[in-house]
Amino acid sequence: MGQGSHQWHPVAAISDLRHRHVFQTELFGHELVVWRADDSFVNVWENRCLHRGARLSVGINDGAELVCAYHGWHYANRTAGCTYIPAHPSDGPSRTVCNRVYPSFVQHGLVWAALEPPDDTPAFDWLDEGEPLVLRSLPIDAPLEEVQGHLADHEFSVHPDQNDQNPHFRLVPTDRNSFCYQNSTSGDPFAARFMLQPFSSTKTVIHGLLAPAPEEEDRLASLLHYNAQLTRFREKVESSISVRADHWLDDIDRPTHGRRGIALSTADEIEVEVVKKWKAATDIVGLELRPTETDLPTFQPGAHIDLHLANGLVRQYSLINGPGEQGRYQIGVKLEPDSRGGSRFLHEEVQEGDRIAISGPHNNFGLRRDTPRTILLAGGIGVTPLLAMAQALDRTELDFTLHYFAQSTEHLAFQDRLGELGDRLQTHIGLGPEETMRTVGETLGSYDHLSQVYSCGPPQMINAIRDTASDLGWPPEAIHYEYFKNEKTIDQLSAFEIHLARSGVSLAVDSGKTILEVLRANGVPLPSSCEQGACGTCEVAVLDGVPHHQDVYLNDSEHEAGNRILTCVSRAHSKQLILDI
Amino acid sequence: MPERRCNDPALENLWHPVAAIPDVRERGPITTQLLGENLVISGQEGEEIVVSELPDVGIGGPAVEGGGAPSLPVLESFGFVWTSLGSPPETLFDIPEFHEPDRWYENSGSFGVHTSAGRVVENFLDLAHFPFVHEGYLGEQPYTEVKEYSVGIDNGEIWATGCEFYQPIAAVSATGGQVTKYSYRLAHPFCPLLYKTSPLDPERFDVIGIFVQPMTEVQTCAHQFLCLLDETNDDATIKRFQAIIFSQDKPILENQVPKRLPLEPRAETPIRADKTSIQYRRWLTELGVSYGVLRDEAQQVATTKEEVH
Repeated sequence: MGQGSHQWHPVAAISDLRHRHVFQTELFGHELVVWRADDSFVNVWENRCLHRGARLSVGINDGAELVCAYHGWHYANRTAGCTYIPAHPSDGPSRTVCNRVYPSFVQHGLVWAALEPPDDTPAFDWLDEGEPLVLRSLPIDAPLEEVQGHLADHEFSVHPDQNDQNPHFRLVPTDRNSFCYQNSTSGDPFAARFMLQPFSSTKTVIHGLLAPAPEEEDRLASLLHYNAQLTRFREKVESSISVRADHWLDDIDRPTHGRRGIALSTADEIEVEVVKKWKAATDIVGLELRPTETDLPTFQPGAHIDLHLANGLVRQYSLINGPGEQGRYQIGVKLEPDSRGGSRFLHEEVQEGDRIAISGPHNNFGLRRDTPRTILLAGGIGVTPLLAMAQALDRTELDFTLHYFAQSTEHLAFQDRLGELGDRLQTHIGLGPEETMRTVGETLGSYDHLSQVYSCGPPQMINAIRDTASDLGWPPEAIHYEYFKNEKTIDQLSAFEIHLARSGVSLAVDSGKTILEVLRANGVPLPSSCEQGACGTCEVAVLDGVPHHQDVYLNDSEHEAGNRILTCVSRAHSKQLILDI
Repeated sequence: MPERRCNDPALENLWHPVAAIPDVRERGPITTQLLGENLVISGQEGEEIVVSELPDVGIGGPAVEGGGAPSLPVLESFGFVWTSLGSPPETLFDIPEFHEPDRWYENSGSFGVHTSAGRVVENFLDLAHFPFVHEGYLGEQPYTEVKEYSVGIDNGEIWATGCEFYQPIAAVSATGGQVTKYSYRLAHPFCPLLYKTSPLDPERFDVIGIFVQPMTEVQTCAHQFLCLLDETNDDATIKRFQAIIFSQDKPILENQVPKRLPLEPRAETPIRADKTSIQYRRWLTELGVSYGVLRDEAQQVATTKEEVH
């Protein structure tokens, strides 16, 4: 193959990509799936689910994600990262589960793609005469070389109304690989351009453009004329072929590589630019972050990122993006009155155009989508992860309501996104703690086996919601929550030993040191994020010993089971903890 | 021994199903394919069943009875004719439930699929696709979770036990649906069986299975059977139900690429729910199967004309 794989080729006309349609085509025998999301972004991917090889072209375009027809795996608009695996509703897919994305762009009514990153950036300056008219694409049952050979000496005729002085024209290649051709006759009011898509070793598609586009009333005549011209050309080429070449089929580099995609660990820092900063509500600013170099990793609803601020602080913020809204991150930052510098810095110092370092998204607050009804309970700025969840649920058939408790209507953040939720949003304004909990109790009702609740907000509110739900018979597995911070006073006085079961190493954790610090000092890398027992990133399994938990991430039954700890805050009541690392 | 197209002793020396016995008796002789070879199966009522290789006239060509070609070994079991291109073991695996007198056994149809036998077997062993491919029958959204189950090798057979899945069909009489318990058994690389608690007797199991005939590397015929305690269902209803289920699987199976089953563990992306198929692929690797599978990455990137078109 070689020749042409680094070159741009048209693979579809924009008119092929109807609303929520999934289009299938090939380039050099590689199957491509082409689909347009509701934000108009056009995705060109390998036409194959990473899981079991099912063609994604038989899947469903939900407007934000492409869902495989076989096991319902969700692949995100733009990044092609897998965001949800229904067989395991509580596990976030690994970041390495990312489909192959081919380089592509949309121009002149056509989708252009290449198998490998092209050497040149696209330069179609020959089409600066305005939007052209896209002719009907025509497949020809002939190998590329045959089509190229015939194009070189075929005489096309111009539409009689358009030019009666030069009724015929020939095409000349405009690039060294002979993939693009244009009308050789100068002085035509309409220049015809033809581009070849090497579909497979036995099939070539001709795409055509007329630039500038004819007047509205002449378009149909032009389309019919060139369709007839190309059909005649097709008949000529196909009738001249006696033996079908199939040389690509033997050495075709069919891309069935398993894993690929963005090689980023959660520890990697990514530099982003603050491209937008706006007042989202009283005391809340919104920040939009875009990458300066690499693409941003795929996120899932409920995920947060770490911001590494110029003043040395690290802070966690949940993403408010909806599904498929990849390529940028949006967060909400509330000015904390007792800010130690994090929120104050972001409110007062950070400006549009500033660059900051972030971590890739962590998700310890994953959204299960295997329950018919989901109740989202948000208190104040706790709305941020729940807003991402509400937007994801809004794409499904599942029943949900976002209950948003705020001091005043001026404190309701991200009104534009809230507005999209319609009657799925219920706001509760200016309620005191008792009224809030009465409302929560009425909303939850007694447990019906068909519901789950997700809550985020001030710690006192989450504590009260957990108690209320529990009193109403809700089991721990149906109550999900995320504390933004751990307000417990962490005891660091005890001294104990940890034994690492997999490596057989024993290490002393002295007073004043955390397990996480001791592990890192001994070369055991463990991801972490908040380092205050709230986010769950540094969790490990405990095989033996009695943990002193101190975190707010695990629930009561998980604390009681004692088989997991968060290494940033948890310690030991026993002399030793045996950890599964 | 004549040279075989498949060049795969592991499969040549196995018994394979090639036809339902009543079809041979009523409509024989029948032409079919096994591992790329053309066969003719003859034997009207009262005659012995004979399987012979056909000279290369291609499928659909004139069916010659016997034709002078050497006949192949024949076994009649579970309502099917089984044969082998090599030296098969003396007996076929057993299904003890088949011999129980109070059971109802039925061949519920044979279906052609344009993919490899391995892909068809894996689909039969898979729970996670129920809510997507068989919605309203074997599964229902949003109940998509595959709970932990066990997989092991017992006496040369793969067993997956403790499988549970929410099924709406069980909900006709009950409110809120029902979790059905399953076990899977692979006694032969292309013969997966499913044991499902019987609604009539919680101590006993209904057995459902497919005997997959590898016609070529990427063309198969799945022969289905049921071995149930239930005597109340009528034949046509059951056959229709099985046909609906298979017609839902077929378009997905035929849209899996590559068609040959990739055995290299990193070729696809297995998850915990795929434990049985992980074990199955390892088993095929250990048996040395090379026909209808892709054994390594080098093979992975090459493909044949047969696969593409």
